[in-house]
Amino acid sequence: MVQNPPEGSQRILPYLNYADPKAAIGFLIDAFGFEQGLLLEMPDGNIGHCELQMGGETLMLAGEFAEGGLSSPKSLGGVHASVVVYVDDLDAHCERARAAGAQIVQEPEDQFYGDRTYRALDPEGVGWDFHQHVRDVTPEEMAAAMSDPNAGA
Amino acid sequence: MSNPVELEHQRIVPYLTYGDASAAIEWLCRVFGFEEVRRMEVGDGRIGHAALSFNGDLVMIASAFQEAGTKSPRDLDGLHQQITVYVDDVDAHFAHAQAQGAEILAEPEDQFWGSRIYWVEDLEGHRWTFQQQVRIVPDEVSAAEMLNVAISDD
Repeated sequence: MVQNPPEGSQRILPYLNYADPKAAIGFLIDAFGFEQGLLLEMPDGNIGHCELQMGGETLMLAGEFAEGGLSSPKSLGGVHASVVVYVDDLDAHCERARAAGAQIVQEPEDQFYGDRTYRALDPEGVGWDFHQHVRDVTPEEMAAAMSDPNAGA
Repeated sequence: MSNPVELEHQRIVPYLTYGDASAAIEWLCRVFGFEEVRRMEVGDGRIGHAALSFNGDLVMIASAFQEAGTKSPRDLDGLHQQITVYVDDVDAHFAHAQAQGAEILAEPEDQFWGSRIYWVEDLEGHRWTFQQQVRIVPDEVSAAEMLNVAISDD
């Protein structure tokens, strides 16, 4: 029986492109706690495909392939996507990321919808929003919070 | 340290920006079969946050916000993130997306690493890979084959 999605993968996953994929892989492992999975290096040294694992799930990345329209945000000068990751201990995760040189652009903070979050940028400008669900919020509480201009959104 | 909370969706979630997020939600639901889970509008018609579900996993989306530096792919000269989705019947998914007018980049085809895949672009140029694992291939086999492909491409 073929497992679909395959073992170690969630159903929906992001695929990122980096100008310096080897440095990015090192950073994502050191700063964010991913684990090295499959790594395919091309004869020219570019990374054709890499899988990083966390908590039984997969993140995929590769180098730039400009002829295929795939580049780093650094090369594009803008972003059209980011990544959200749910972790089990947000504050410890943030300290690890900071110690490894991640740029923390929003410090850990409780959000009205029941998550504690922080935001970091990786070396090529990809935004990473880390979440930990810390509190269940009822629909009534959610509606009240959203109508409160001080609650933030 | 608090106990891990059981998530109802996957841990690692792609977050996508659209110039017209309302149109994107309608399109992604109609063409790709997503279901809208939540939507938070910011008052000027833009969407601050929305979540769409596909068999329990999510994509999150928002409108482009110039002040935050986020853009639609159509306003950039390339892509830095694509989205991969495992579906239960990739040919049926393809047929539906094509019938709904999606821009197909490559029709479903079996890949040497055991997946059957098609590539498609959405209404604003985000690139999606829909795939179904149809065959078990050990990692070391696919790695060796991929290296061969890379070498023969030179």
